[in-house]
Amino acid sequence: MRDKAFNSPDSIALITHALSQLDALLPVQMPQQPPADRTPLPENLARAGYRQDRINDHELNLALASLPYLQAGQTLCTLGQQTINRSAIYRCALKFDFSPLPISQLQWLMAEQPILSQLQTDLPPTVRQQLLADTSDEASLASGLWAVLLDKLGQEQDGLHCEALLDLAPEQAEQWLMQAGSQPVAHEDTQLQARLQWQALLDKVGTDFTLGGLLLALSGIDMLTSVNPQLNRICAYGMATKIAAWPMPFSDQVGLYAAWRATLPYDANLFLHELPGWQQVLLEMPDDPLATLAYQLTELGIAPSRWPGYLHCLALELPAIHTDQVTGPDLADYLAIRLTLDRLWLNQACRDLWKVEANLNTLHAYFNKNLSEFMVRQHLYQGSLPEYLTHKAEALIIRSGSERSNREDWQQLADLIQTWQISPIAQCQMTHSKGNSVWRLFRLCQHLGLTPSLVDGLAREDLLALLAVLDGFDDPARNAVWQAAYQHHYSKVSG
Amino acid sequence: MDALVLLIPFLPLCAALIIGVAASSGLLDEKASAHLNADIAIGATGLSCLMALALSVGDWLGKTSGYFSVGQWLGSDTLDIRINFISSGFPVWLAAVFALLLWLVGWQASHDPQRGAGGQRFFFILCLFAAAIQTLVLSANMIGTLAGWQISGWCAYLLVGYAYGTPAATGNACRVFIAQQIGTIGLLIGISLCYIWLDNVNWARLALATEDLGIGQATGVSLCFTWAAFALSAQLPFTPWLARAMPTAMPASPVIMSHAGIYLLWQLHPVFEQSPFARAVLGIVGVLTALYCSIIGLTQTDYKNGLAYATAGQLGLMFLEAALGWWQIMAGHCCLHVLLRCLQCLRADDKAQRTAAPQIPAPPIPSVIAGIGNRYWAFTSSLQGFWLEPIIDWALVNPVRKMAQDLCYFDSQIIDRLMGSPEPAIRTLATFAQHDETFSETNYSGTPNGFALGNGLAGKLAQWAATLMHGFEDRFVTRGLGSGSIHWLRKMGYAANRFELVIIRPRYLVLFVGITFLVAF
Repeated sequence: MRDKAFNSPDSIALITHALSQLDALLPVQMPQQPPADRTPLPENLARAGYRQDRINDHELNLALASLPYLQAGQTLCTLGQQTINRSAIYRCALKFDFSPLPISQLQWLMAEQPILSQLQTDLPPTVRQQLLADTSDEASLASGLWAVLLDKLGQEQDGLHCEALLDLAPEQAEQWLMQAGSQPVAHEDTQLQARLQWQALLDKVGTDFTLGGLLLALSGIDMLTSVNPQLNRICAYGMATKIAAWPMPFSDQVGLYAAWRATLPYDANLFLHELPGWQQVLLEMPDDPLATLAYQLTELGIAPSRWPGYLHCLALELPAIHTDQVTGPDLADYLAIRLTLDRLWLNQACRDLWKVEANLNTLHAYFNKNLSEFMVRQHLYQGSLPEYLTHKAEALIIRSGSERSNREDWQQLADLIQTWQISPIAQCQMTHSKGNSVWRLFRLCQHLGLTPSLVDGLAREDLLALLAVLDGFDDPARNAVWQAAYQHHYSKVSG
Repeated sequence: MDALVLLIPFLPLCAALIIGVAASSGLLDEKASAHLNADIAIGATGLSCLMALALSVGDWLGKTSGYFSVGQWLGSDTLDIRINFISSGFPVWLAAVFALLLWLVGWQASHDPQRGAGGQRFFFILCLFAAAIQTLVLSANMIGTLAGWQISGWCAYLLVGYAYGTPAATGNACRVFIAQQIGTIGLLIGISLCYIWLDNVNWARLALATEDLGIGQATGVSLCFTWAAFALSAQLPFTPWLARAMPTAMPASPVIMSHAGIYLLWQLHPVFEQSPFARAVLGIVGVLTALYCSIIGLTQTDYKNGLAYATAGQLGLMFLEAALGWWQIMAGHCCLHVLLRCLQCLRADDKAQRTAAPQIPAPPIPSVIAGIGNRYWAFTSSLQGFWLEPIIDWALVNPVRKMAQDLCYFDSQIIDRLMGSPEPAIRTLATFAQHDETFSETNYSGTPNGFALGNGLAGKLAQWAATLMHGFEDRFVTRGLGSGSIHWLRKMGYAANRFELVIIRPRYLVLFVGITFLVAF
């Protein structure tokens, strides 16, 4: 009955159509092999080229001028006789790194390294001389600049440790809540936010990643480490390079998938790895790879409208895939094998973690009821939590595993995470934190040769304008400038 | 002449120290000193190779006495451990082959343009590995051999886990390391037995005193060292570690290491002569490994994996030769085989060679296998390596891992609570949600009962009915029993379930049985 359903013409047509689209998409969308002419030069290599004098300031200026949308000549502010325009900031951003620092790293640097008692070590000698023209006291220059920037951006001098959040005074909490404005703080609001995030993550299944990707995001378990060795072993038999003496029985007659399916009942791995329900999966697997794809996708709870996207994501994850070797029906074989292995291993992971089967609808139902667990897991495996919360989350996952068995602890931890996110210590919500705006302006001002007294003469809006230019000059924009500069360089050399 | 033997491990050790100290102290910039590191490593391994070859020639001409002692390292009562080396015979020849191969590895690595930034680390490990493996082979006492084994094991761990950013590399490194450590247990017990029964840990003394050992004692000592040799030479059931170690920064290193197991057999050969049972074990395991590797090799689609199984299979044949008492053939086989396999590894690593080389056609399937070539069970067994690793995982690794989880749970839930943990000094608030509940007007108790919500007539009726039932439950059931009773009963239920789950696990039953036996006896 089920076999017939998966062999229905509609399902097969849908799968066939999705696979035919993959043939067209794979050659241009393979992340492993981007076309050579589109590959951006890594920024560290581009900067190394500048340090080795392969690229000079003149070529950078030419490149900036050749990209009119950057408005390199626009003046941002005037300080006495000194004018700061966009190109000065662009040049700094091209040559030096102005990434924000996590607050914990900044605190560590302030405690362990003399970043506030000396000028930045990567300053060019001319800029250093310019800064030290009036005074020889580096320490007062650096600490003065830091103090001015803190004052301008309304930040406090004293740093607060992350773990202070575990023991908040009511006054402090009220002050921060006022700063947070309309941020949700009540437990129910947190749950509502988590529900929206869960829905957003769920929507990405079949467009951005597979169910394995969802598992990775929520448990840190990379299923590919289990599936890929087996897939490699099997797929190597279908590749052009056959170096094994013993061919897979009948694979040249019935195809790779059918031959593999016939070997599956003899594979003790399914038993030894204690994969749940493997007997049932074997019994229900259709003989045809296209029908198997339809069957497995249905069993995983993927809606038919998402099948093409899901198969696309899956194809991109195939190990060592070469588009000239994997086309048409062969691709169906590989995907059918991969999807079957996926389901077997996903079932095991989902059973161990949440006592549910690997099915999108089941997971949806589970996490709708356990949103605190979702919130904790999502933030933990994104790696965005501070150490004290990471430790608590890991301990809770080891101890409880699921929110079902210890709901209060999970809810408490979810609230702690929400509190961390809203607090001024977390840089992600606060644009003008020390690790972000203050630190970046601190470096930028030094590279622009601005002394504390000059910066003191600037309005807060002027500083924010400098920062906005720095933010707007993002990776793609910088890559474009480097590429143009290298083109100028090589046209000059060849000319 | 004998003193040359000291330089064979000492020169690479000095090179490792120079590279290591320079790297850790920041004296040399990694990129700027890439060539210097390579030159130091190649120079040290090259000189070590020259010393080994000179010593071999000296041995061939009969110019060596066979033994060189630097002095005593540790002495206590009858225990006398010296820093001493063997300067003649098979160990010297094997050391010369190893030294030549390690120099070739270093030379090839120095010409690899992609070695780049990781060069410092690579050449440090290469030199340390060279020093360790030469110590293992040339040491005249078992403690030196053990030290060489341990350091080379660590080097193998670092080399296999060279690309430590990938989970596969770290996983492989752990498995290789654990396999080596299991072998170390056998070696340690063997050394202890030698000391207990012979009051000595020198290889030469062991060879001379075999007649002092009874057949049982000889068998005990032999089996302990056999256990170590099985682990080191990737014999069953340790075979998979060699294939796991091949995707390393230096594929020749596991091949070299695996041949050191043959050296152990050679040192023990007078004892093996006393123990037919140990030789039978050697022969059976050797034959089984050779068969196992031959069958698995037929389904390998990766060149390096194929090399690994071919190496383990040939090592199995060497064990068979040992069992038959063909010690000289075994020694020659070992030297020639390690040379061949390492050159194949170097060729596999040479990217230019690999891309230029024509496709090697698959060898024909052996006639023995041809009869069952189309049997799915036979093919699957070969493809999956007879499930050796999954079986070990299932029988040993998984229970240990689960027990570790249980202990972790016990630690956090029982021990930590008993010991106590610091609480915040004031503990006013930990979350904004608490603040919201405590200080805001819209706290939980103030909100309307959100137990059920409905729209329309039917919905409102259902909502009222649900609210009524909830009120009834709240007033007459929950409050009647006490506000915390249901919560505690639920907790007790979970605890009981957990206890039941734990108690029915086989490992705890085995543990209880073990404890019972311990108490009884």
